[in-house]
Amino acid sequence: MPDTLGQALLGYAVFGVILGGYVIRLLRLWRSTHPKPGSGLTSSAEWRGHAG
Amino acid sequence: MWSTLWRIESRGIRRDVIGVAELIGFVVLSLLIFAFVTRAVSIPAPLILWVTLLFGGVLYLGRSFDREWASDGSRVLEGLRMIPGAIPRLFWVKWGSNSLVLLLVSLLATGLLMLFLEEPGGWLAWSWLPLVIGLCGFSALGTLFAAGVVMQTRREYLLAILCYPLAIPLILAVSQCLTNGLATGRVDPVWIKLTAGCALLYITVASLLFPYLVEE
Amino acid sequence: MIRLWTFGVVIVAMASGYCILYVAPPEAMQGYVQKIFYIHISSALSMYVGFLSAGVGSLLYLLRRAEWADALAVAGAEVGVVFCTIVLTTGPIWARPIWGVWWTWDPRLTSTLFCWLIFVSYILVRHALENPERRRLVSAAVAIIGLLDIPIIHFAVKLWRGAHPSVKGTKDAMPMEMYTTLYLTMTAVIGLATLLIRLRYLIERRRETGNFLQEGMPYA
Repeated sequence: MPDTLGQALLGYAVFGVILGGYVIRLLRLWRSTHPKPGSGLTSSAEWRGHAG
Repeated sequence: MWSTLWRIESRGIRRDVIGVAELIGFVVLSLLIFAFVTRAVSIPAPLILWVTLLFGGVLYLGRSFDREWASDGSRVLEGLRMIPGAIPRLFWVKWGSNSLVLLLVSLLATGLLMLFLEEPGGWLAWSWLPLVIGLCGFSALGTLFAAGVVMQTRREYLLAILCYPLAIPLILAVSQCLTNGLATGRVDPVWIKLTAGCALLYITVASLLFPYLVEE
Repeated sequence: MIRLWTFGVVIVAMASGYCILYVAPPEAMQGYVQKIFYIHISSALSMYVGFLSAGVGSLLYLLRRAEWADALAVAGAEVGVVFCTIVLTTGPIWARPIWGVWWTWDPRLTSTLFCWLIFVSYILVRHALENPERRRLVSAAVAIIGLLDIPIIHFAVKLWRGAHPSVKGTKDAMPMEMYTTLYLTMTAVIGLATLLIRLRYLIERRRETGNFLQEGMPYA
């Protein structure tokens, strides 16, 4: 059996980095579009409530 | 209706001769560059023609709707939107006029190519078919997306990004037709079918999607 | 619902991770690198789930002008491109020791690359067009033509490159443990893909309805 453990690990690392990077990006977007109350950011619905 | 639309289009082309002239200028310069390059590396003439027309085509197609959308001409499009059935017909007129201009320019380019490369042009006998079908299919995609990116600042670049990836099967099929034809001296029966299929699909889908992109 | 789904995906992912590490035996001819195959195939299927959502969402958007359909299309296209990128990178990592080259114009590789290009152009166009209505319409057209292109690309590239080594041929030789691992991994990765599509969809929906935070933010 050829020793290809390094390549296998590299493959899984690449999988993790790409997917992890995208998940982090999504979480950031999520935080900016779904702010928690009292976090200093106002969600659009609340903003509209104030304006109206 | 058809004749009115065609009259508007042909008058537009006459008023905007500079657009056609730019396309011709671009094609001539590209062929000249290819003529220099082919002194070192041999590139088959039909493929040079195909690549030059693909590049020049995107630049020309990007301007398809400038006349209708430009500040003084915007009323043309507003008027057309009010007439029922005018917008779907506008696609066919635009596609026809764009394909016609591209085909005429390719005729000129073929002459120049034979002059620059001192080609006998025996390939013309079979290569005209994939080139004509390919250009008609490509101009359908170009016409559709030209309506989408009109009046955008980076439209030439945008149109290329939109058209080339989507036209990959067509570009591949025409290129294969031409490459195989160079070896056998006739049109490849399988690849020409794929070329025609792709062109037909693009023309049909583009004509169906066009009204959605214009009737905002 | 999302929490339950996430919980399920985590459980299946842990099971599939365990199987990849301990249950599935290393392949005799290829060694450990063969284990890439589990995530590679699963990502390829997830990629099609994404592209299919993009195409269907775009078609529904054009027909009904419903904003939710456009959000589904964006989510599908983005997640599809992410998994397509995984397919395109894990493939060469496997191919290097097996075929001896990083990249070859093999039909499957080539057609995947072309699909990637189409949907990357979809994302680029969404960034480039400022008018929201125009952006949705043009990108919907791209996704619909892109989806129609996929089978033609597969056919054309196969014709172009001739015969290629098929994955299906190895199936008979695969032991039961490998099958179990493959199916578990597929379930986990496709489950994750649908979760990501759902999250991206909700984000897009929120962006459409609330303009406050979106103002001044680059469309990303």
